[in-house]
Amino acid sequence: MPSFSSPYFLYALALAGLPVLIHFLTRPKPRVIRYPTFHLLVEAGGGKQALHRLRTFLLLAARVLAIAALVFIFADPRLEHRSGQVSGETKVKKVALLLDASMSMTGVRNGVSLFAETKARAAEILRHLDSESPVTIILIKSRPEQLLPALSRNHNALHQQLANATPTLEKGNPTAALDLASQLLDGGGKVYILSDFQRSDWSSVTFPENKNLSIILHPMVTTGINNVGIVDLKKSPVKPVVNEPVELSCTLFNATAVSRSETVHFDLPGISGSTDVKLQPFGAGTASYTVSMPEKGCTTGSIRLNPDNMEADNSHYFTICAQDAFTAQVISNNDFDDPDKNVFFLSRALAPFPDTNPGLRIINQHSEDLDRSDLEISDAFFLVPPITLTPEIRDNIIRRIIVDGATLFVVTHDFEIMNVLEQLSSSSSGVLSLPFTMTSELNFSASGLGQPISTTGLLDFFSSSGQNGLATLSLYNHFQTNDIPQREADILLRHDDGSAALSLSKAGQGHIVGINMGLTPEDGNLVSSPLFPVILQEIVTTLRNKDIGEAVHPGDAVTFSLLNHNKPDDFESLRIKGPEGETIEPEFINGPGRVQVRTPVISLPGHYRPVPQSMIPDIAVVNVDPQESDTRIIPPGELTKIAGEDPAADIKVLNEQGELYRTEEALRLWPYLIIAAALFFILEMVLSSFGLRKNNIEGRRS
Amino acid sequence: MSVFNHPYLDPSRMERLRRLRIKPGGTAEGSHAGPHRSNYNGSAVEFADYRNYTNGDDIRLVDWKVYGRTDRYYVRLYEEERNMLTYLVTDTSGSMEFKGVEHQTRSKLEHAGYLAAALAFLIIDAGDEAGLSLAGDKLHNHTAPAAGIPHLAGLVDELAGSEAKGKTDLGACLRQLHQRAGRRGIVMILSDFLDPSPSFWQAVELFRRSRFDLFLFHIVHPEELELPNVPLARFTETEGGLGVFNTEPDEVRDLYRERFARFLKQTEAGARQRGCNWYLTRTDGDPIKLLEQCFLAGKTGY
Repeated sequence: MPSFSSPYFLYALALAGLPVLIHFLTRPKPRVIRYPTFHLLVEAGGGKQALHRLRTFLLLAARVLAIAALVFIFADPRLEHRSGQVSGETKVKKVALLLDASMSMTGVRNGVSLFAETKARAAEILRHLDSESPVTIILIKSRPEQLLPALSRNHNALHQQLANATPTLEKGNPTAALDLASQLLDGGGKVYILSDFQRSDWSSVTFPENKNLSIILHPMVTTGINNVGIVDLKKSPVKPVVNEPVELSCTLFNATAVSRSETVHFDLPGISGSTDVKLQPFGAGTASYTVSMPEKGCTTGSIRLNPDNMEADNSHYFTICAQDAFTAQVISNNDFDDPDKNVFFLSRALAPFPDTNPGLRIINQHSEDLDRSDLEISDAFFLVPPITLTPEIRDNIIRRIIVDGATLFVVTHDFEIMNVLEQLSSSSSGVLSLPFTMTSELNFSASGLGQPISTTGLLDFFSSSGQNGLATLSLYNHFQTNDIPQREADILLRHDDGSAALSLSKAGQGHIVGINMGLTPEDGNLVSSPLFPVILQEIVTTLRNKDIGEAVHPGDAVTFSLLNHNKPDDFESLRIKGPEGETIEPEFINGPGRVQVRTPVISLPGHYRPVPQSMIPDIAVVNVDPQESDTRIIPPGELTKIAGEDPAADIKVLNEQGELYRTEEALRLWPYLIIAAALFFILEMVLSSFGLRKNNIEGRRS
Repeated sequence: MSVFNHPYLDPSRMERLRRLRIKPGGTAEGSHAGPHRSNYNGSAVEFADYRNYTNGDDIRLVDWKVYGRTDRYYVRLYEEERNMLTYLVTDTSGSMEFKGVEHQTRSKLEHAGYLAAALAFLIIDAGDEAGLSLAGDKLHNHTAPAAGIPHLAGLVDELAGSEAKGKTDLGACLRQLHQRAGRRGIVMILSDFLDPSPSFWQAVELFRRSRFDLFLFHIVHPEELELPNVPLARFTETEGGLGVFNTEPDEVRDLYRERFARFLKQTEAGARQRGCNWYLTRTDGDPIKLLEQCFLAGKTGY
């Protein structure tokens, strides 16, 4: 059945009657003549009359049809085939409907969420599909979700599943959804993508290399939803000690084109406050709040904004776990009280005075006296040669660094330390060892590159503390080093000969600090310099402000590490309680170096607490992915660029809702109508020229 | 109305007509002595009557004494000379009423009237006898040939009072006339000859076999020769038919002209084949002029 892009023009079809009207209005009234030679006239002109009538009819018809064709051209008719049906063929196409169900689709516009609008539109597309089309509906989430397990011709069931679909608070992964669609439509088909085409989700999308796909991008919005969301929260320090001030610094992002003023509410048990923040268009702002924890333990809290078009990112959850002290364990075989030994100076430098660093507790331990329980509570390990580590101790130290985020300070080196470093560098987590190799017979090797850490503040310290400050240091008796080129940024301080003196490298969740400096008076004046404790304090402070652990977002699973190395007997009783009080049954997994439990993929942000807490004294925090708060979209006019310059699939952007229900197989008839109109006009001119009267009155009159 | 003041005949016409003479191709069989050679072998040479001199008369027959008295030329008629009988047949069917559309002239019937009146005068003035029959679907108003001015007046009145109506069946009319015509003579048919039936020519044959002389005066209107100059016309039949023909005359003008010309040729050919005299006359033309062309003295009149 034909349809029309501009049906209003069809009213002009009335003009097609004009030629007929004009013909009859201007037609001369026939003169009645009683004619004697009537039969001769009929004999002569009978055939001509019929021809004349035919000519008149054709002329009128040509004029009417020419005008009608012109009207239809403007109305832009299309001969549609049912979506999913290939033009000129009987084969129906497979169809995949990809609906963006990420957090940004929870945004509300005119009282209706984007996802609700998307569902309605998807339902309408489904209704326009050929009833025999195999269809799948895929929700674009962190992992794509098919509403039905396979392509289905049961459109009713699809409608039902569609009606029950809900958006998520997850970050969308369109690449995964497209890959799934490509697999399902193997051999060819059509993909409809209904999304807000949020920049943060779609700017790095990869389209499948499937030439048989026809992909239609349909933006559900032409401008991003106005939104202000909480995108980050920093705690400084991350692991405060009791009564230590903790600064909560909350970052907001304004994804609107106008300035906004937001009130940030901080909520902690027994503590609340609010701060106003002014935000520039598409700008960020920070609100800070300082609290201190009076007791050891973890406290949950949240930060809220006033409700707006997208509420999911108006709340941000956090925990503050206060501890008695930041514990640094100094391990060496040397006598800690021997002033000729490096360990003596190191331990003194860490805490020159009792109140140098409140909350810092130093444990000096002979390596042969190490207790595993001490390892569990230490936040930093100083390995000062000579040192003797049992394999178990070594493994636990490594685990504490890689998994728990402790920091390893490697003071010069010896064989045992080398063992530790080698194990660290060979671990599957890809941790780094020292960013330099010793040019002695002991060679370190760096395997892999961990995630770079931000040592900007620390580097600033080392660069701004002044050459004057550092220039006062005399450092010698160190090991000559060869720097590893990719690790230049890890090196904080160098010797005069260019060798690395001080480095800070990522190691799993923790860090390795390489101290290639002599810590005795004969190795230089570092130990007597006030810079020595300052250096250490700066490093420790930086590390304490570094949040460990990957952020967990809806769509991820929450993982907890058990205290015990082995699975406890009463593990079966372990449950995880969610933010709405729901009980989640976790699974037991073997993590790197320790036992872990993991929940299924969670969907809600908030606090997740293991029960009983004694088994896992930890609280996991899940917050929405801040990238979803940036509701800025890829403008519809630029959407085709996201597929790259030469995509394999045929990609088209359809902005108008009506265009969705038509297919590219729909035949636009206007070219044919132009030809038809031209032919009708030519016919009209030809017929008119045949009908020209011969004004030959003088010839007729004798 | 005096025949001499009738529109069909007036002194000027009569004057022109006096110069004309109709001579039959065969011999006359009039009941009276006339200027025409007769098949009757009469022995009487007695003076029978005078008549006016007409061109072509034997000058020896002119009575000079009468001329001396009256200054007019009269010829003597003797008993062995017979007068010519002429039967004038005028078509009074509906088609004869046509006067034209854009170019209006006298109707064909009126033209026939002029012509018939002139012919009647011509004949009677020559001492012959003329009769009149009005033909439609049948012969009506038949007046037997006779001579004399009163008779001529009667004929003219009859012509003036005729109406064109009804259908044409000239064949039937001629057959009826043939039955009524006792003696042979001249039959002059004034018609548009739009009677399509073949019986007409059969009737003509009938008269020819009976040694009548036939004159066919084919009367046409100029707008029968050429279609009327109107943009759009609804042509209807004139003799009671219900046919209607809607057309733009320009569309069919050429075809009709050819068809009508063919009709005229067919009629002329039919007449010629049967030894008839055929004359075409237009209603916008002068009937007297036609007769002058046909019967001017010195010509055979054919």
